[in-house]
Amino acid sequence: MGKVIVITSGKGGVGKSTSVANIGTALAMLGKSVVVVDADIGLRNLDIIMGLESRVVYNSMDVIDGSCELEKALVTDRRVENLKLLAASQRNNKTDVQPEQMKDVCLKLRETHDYVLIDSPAGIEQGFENASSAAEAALIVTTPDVSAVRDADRIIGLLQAKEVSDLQLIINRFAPNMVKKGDMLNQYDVLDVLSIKLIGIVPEDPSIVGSSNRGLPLIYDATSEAAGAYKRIARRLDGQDVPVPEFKAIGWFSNMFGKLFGLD
Amino acid sequence: MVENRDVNDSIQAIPTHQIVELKGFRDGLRLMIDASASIEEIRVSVKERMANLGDSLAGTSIVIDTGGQELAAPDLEHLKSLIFETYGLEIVTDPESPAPTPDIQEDKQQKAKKEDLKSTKPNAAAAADSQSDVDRIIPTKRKTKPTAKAEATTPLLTDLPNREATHVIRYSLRSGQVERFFEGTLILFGDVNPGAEVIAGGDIVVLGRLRGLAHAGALGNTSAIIMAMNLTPTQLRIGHLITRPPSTGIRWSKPQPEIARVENDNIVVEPFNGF
Ligand SMILES: Nc1ncnc2c1ncn2[C@@H]1O[C@H](COP(=O)(O)OP(=O)(O)OP(=O)(O)O)[C@@H](O)[C@H]1O
Ligand SMILES: [Mg+2]
Repeated sequence: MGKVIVITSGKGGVGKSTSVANIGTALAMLGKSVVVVDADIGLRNLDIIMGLESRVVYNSMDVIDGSCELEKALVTDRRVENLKLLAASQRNNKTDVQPEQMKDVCLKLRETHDYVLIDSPAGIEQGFENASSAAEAALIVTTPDVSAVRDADRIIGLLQAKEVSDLQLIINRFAPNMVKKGDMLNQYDVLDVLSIKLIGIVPEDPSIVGSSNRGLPLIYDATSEAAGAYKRIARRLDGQDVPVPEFKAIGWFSNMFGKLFGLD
Repeated sequence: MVENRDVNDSIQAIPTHQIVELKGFRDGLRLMIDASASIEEIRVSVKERMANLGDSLAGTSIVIDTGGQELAAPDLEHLKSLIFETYGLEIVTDPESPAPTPDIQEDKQQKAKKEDLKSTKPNAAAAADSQSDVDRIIPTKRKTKPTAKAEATTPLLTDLPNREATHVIRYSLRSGQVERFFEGTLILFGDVNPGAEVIAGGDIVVLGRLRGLAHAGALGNTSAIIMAMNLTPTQLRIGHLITRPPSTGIRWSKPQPEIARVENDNIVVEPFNGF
């Protein structure tokens, strides 16, 4: 029996889908059987980020209305065969699905997979209700800015009210140089407000945009710092004890220092 | 405003215009109206009484209590629309008031609310002989006035000197969460995060960090205080007064208990050194 984890945020565009694609892939590369579920009904895009768009035939709506078997609706990843995707319907909207229906689907998936990762839409409305209905744990994604943190706090309150108590935080798009200049909150500021466990910090990485557009999760890029961060998050999620490194601002001195001493 | 420095008196009725009195109770508010006054007087008094209370009351339910006296149906209707439209309060019909005309019949939701009130009433037996439904639920001071029929009522805790109803919350409030307690003092064991709100008819004590919004004396009592172990709010309100921390700069001082109170119509914040 696996675990159902919702990846959610209050504010939109903070990197939920990116996180689901990369953590899902990383867990699968660790040998786990993983299903990623796109719960952003009406606005599907997880399949695009994962490069699976052309393989999608059925979606969760077809499973819910009984026109397709659950197993048949799962799309197998191109590179890792123990990674599957359950796509969202684009023709329907969020209110066409009830939380109970979504829950049934996820609980069934849990019987045959180690991890069921649900990509939640932003916000606190029905889409969030659907996405979190089966979740026993949640990863809350925020960027280190005041408004995203405020919305993350709201979502945490709602999850706690639903008695989802296993909550961990991903700080995404962390830019040490901006923190150093005081233009961005640091991780301590963020954790001071949210007071939940930190599972990882993903640095700002311009190559993410290109990798999403190519449908090749960043995780395959061995040189990317963000890829390393997602791999560490996957291992922590899987129960391994992996320390969170400090992300240092890159200035002239630290750059030289890092190069000279191979600390980069 | 009201020069009333007695902290213990924070939730007792504030001396207002005799014609209307606004009180907070566990389940909402009660506006007590002397129906013998003219509608114009009542209207002015209501406005006066409710002026500058801000949006802290919005969305709560209010009972209009005319003390069994007749208030012409159109006048009552007029008052209801004034209160609802101007202050955003949900009006719960007081069964004591004159028979409602068809268009002010309470809807299902309001009925349900009232059922709630009934089910939580504390001392039914003590006041069972009262003719009024609501009065049985919430005995008011007014009933002990000479004009009221002498009857045995159990006084509320708040009717005893130096005693107040208190609402204790043992968790932190996150953004978007609001806790209100109009009946008396609110004590919170936890933090009030940015974007969260605590509102009380009396004092507010936060045994943690207050970083959101707090409104003490929400029914207009400027003698109410706000205290927190660490006071870095986005906004403080006491009665009708509002203050924000200076927009420039962050407070670097070591966290220490602080108290906010009203002095000369200003909210002042100072380290707490005992009462
Ligand atoms: N660490 C990062 N560095 C740089 N860009 C990033 C990073 N994470 C995400 N992005 C970019 O931010 C944008 C939004 O990401 P994504 O679609 O994953 O967010 P989302 O939370 O799923 O959005 P929505 O709320 O719309 O579903 C994308 O263009 C993505 O490439
Ligand atoms: Mg998304």
